[in-house]
Amino acid sequence: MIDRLMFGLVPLIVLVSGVAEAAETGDLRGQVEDQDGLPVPNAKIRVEGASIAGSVEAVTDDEGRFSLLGLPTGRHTLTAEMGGFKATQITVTVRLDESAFIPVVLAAAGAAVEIVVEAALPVIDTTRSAISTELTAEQLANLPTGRSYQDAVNMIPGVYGRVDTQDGGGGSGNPSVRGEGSYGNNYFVDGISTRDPATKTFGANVNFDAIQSMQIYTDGAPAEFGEFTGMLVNVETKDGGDEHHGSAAYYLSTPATGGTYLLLDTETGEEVATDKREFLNHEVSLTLGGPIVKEKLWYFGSLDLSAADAVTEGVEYATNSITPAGFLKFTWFATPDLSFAYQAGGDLSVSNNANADALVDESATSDRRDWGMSQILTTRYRPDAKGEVEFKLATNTINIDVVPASGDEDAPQIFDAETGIYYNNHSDFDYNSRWRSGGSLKVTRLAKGFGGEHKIKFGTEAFYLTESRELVFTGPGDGVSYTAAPDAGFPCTDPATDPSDCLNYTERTANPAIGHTGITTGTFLQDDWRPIETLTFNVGVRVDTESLYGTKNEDTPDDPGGELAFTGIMPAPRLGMAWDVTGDSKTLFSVNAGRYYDIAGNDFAAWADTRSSSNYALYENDGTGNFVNTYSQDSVQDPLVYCTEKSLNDYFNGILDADPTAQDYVDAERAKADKVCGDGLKPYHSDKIVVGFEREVLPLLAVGIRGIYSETKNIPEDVDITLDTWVIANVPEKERVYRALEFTLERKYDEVWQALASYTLSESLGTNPGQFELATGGSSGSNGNEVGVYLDDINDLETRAFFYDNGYGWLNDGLAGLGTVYDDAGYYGYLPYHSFHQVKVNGSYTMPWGTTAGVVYEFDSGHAWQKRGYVPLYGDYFGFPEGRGSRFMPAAHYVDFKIAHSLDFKNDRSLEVSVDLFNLPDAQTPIGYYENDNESFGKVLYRQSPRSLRAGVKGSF
Amino acid sequence: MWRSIFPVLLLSCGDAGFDGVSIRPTYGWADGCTDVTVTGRGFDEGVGGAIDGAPLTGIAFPDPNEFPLDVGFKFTAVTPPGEVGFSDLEVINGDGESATVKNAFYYVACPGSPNVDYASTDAAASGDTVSLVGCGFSAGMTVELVSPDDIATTLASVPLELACSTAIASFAAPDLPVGTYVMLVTDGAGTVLYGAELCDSADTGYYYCDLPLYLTYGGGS
Repeated sequence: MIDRLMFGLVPLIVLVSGVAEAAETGDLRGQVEDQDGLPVPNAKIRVEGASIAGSVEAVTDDEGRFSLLGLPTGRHTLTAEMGGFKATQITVTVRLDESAFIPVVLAAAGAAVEIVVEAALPVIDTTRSAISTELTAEQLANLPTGRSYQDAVNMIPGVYGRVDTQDGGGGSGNPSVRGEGSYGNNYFVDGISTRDPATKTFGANVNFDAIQSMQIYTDGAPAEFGEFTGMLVNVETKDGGDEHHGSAAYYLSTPATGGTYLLLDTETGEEVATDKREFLNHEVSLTLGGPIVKEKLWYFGSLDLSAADAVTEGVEYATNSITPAGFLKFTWFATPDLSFAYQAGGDLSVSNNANADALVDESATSDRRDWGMSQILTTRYRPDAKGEVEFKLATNTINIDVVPASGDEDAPQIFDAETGIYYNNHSDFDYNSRWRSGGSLKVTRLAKGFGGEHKIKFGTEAFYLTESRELVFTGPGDGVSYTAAPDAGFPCTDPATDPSDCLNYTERTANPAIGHTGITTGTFLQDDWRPIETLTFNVGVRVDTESLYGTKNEDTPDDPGGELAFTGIMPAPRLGMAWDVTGDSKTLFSVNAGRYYDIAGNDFAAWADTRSSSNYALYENDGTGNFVNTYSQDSVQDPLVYCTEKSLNDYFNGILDADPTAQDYVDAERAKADKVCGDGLKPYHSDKIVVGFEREVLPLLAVGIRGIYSETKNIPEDVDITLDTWVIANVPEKERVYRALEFTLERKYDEVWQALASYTLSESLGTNPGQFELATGGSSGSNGNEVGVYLDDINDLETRAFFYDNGYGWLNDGLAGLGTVYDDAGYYGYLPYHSFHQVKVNGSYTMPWGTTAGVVYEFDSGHAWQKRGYVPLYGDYFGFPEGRGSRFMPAAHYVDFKIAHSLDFKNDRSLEVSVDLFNLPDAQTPIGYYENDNESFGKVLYRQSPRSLRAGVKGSF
Repeated sequence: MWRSIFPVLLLSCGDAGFDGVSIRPTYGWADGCTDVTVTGRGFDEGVGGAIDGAPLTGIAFPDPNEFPLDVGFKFTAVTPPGEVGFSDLEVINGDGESATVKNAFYYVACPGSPNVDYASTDAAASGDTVSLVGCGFSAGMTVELVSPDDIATTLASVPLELACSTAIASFAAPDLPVGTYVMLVTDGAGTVLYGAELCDSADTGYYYCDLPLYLTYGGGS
């Protein structure tokens, strides 16, 4: 049925002699005319290139038009032939996810030779209303950027990634985009999301030299893409191709990643020590690709090996790490219509003394093993160049294992209360594992009829997400940590054999692993409908679903896990219009509006699951060497309650099970819960609209202006309906707003020079930065995916008055700053996800003799921060006495520079020597202040990373 | 500057000046004279404020040398008297820009006449000014100083003068020997209105139980 529906729409005027296999592709379309401007029907169009097995062919229609779907990105040769005309060859560039219009003029026959034309490819895709930027491997090779796609995206207009807005310090690879935080982006590799299912930050890495291209959507992404509210990155990896190619490179770098000046003594406010980590990093990168059997079987492999020593200022020992990472892809063209590709990428990071810190003695450090792997099996069926069916199966995993550096798992930890330093082993060791497995099916078809031309795409996907975490304690009595206080007469000299002179000890017993699972699905239908040649409507709808479960632990009958915690259904329309104003593919006016949902993620299930992974007990020395248990905490506690019928019923039935006479109480509480919950718990979403105008003013150079507005609503929060019952509900007061005016200049790379410049005037406001709550980095507060403190102030006037009138006014004041609806403080303000003014200038120029100079510059006028007030009820700095985002960081400049020289030899062989300088002026502008309202308030917590260098040599063929 | 232009560019109606305005404490006696701190962003040197239209007094800014990061972010002031219940706070910059926070401050009814929260000092010498802070003071009231061991015998009696509305009253410490005394507030005719014995009253409630007000005369220096 689908076949008839999708493939029966157009006459089969396309011939195919080969399959263009690529995980991600772009389109070409065009029109063939004679020298008098008359269309040439039935002309034969053929596209060939190293990354195309054989060729892709089409025949022009009655109007001389042709369309070619799903071509590999990069440069290809397009040949147009027609009897009575000279054959014409054009070099064309296909860009990821874009559609380029190629005008072809055939000259009358008279000479037997072909005419070869270097196409002046349109810069602007006038069929798309989405705002996105493509970065290719060729471009990135000439620009000073870190060797990861996460670093490269910082060049994109509107991406705020130079600072970590979640944890503070320099960029973490998870930028804030369009007013959404580091949790709001999605990272696709070859069309499959690789995002961490728990933290929603980037997941599996991709070898930098395995990247062919990437398309970064900041606004208006089509319905094909889901599960994000900020930015979507779609990375395309390289293929083998029909020509052998490869490279070998060595890089020596001295980054000071982290580059932080961390206050160690927050009590005194003294900047007593810095925590700058300086690395010496060696990296070897190898790639090799080509045909095993030409036009039948390709391979591509990439191996990256890096070793780093990190020295932390004020620490006598170093962190040593070694990270091998590999990528392998095989592509098999089974028939001219059918191809299969299998790719696997993985990395392993082994770090010794991973927690090197001035407050951790080397004997108490831990070693860390991180490993991840992603695999994709792609099946592609292309009966012709106007339609394809693509089926993918994929699995991604991320694993973290922390073990004691000493290897002595029996040694108890000692905490020196006098110096604040930990000795003698680490107290607990984590094992984290996250999986994302599933598949997707996409059907694409170019069609004519129903009011114009259509590119119709339908897809569906389903993924199974898991995260689990286990604490592994060591030493006698499970996790035991002794405290020494020599000045108080408790030196704690040998706790392993005689702990009687220790001040106290804590004991933690590990519970079995806890975890959470989720099932997500997504289905979309989109159409790029062109009723007339100069007007395209991008119409689509996407529906995502999410079901989250806790993991039931059969060993503990009281374990509240295992239940379906939350189900979300997320219908998201996407509507856009792209108007080729001048009809020559050089001027675009576009409007795009859409809804963007993100899944809640496994941490959302963890939120309501208050089981921690350990039990805790404190034993204090009574002065005679005997220890008395003075405090114990059982980890299995009552969970929070979701505003779902099942969760509410389970909770209140549980009360009745324990106390059948509590019916009146339950009825009253249930009524309160129903009032708070309203229609139930809904997923949060962003509604965005973007209006843009772009004009190609010089060949390959376009300028543009765009306005962006977005609102994020339905953000959940835990709301107390009584002192001991909290429900997770959508709180209407919680919202985020982003608006921006952005000017861009883009000069497409032509092997000589490139430029991408932008100025973004923006503001990001809201009641809470995170999915739930988020600090602005580095101080107290929870991260964007976990429970926070918000709107816990007492908002009901009658209740407030009662407290004032009866002497409890101090309680109202104690909670003030957490967000009342009666004053601004803490309720609504600037979020740290923007700077009012952001300027980016990136570009490179290659001299005729092979020397390339590249620069990446960014000006950041400073993000919002604020004073955070102490809230006695929570014992932490959760309040906003001056209002959220009441202050702004100073302006910072980032200047990175690259110089490279390439020696070219015969047969496309070359040798390049390069030097990259990051933070050329060695600027040390503060990028984070201490926010808590104590003696340290306003002290510098983080500065820009110091100047660093990367030198490399790379041979290619 | 940009903040004025930006909303226009984006056809927005965002505010241009104050942000995060709040007042702490959020409550005080209806008699006024509560020391408050107004925080937020965008306060200039000419800033003023009002509660339900009555101006705040005693506006003071942080010392720029001691608290440079607080300049423009806070000022201290004294509340005017007001009606019991919630009131709106208005802040007005020197250039006329203003912001209003609804129900920002709650005026609490004075539970006694008078009700003393605390004395400005618990140590004095003859002639020092001692202030009683609370609410419900009125002209004609006196302070009687008695011995803690014998509150029935008045050792000295001095008139109270209203120092700030009916919320703060002060007196000049009389000549008395070195020692510790209890201050009782009377109606001027000998009836104790506020003093230690009321603490035993069962129906006054825990929160309005009078606190003993001690005044100690030192031994020299």
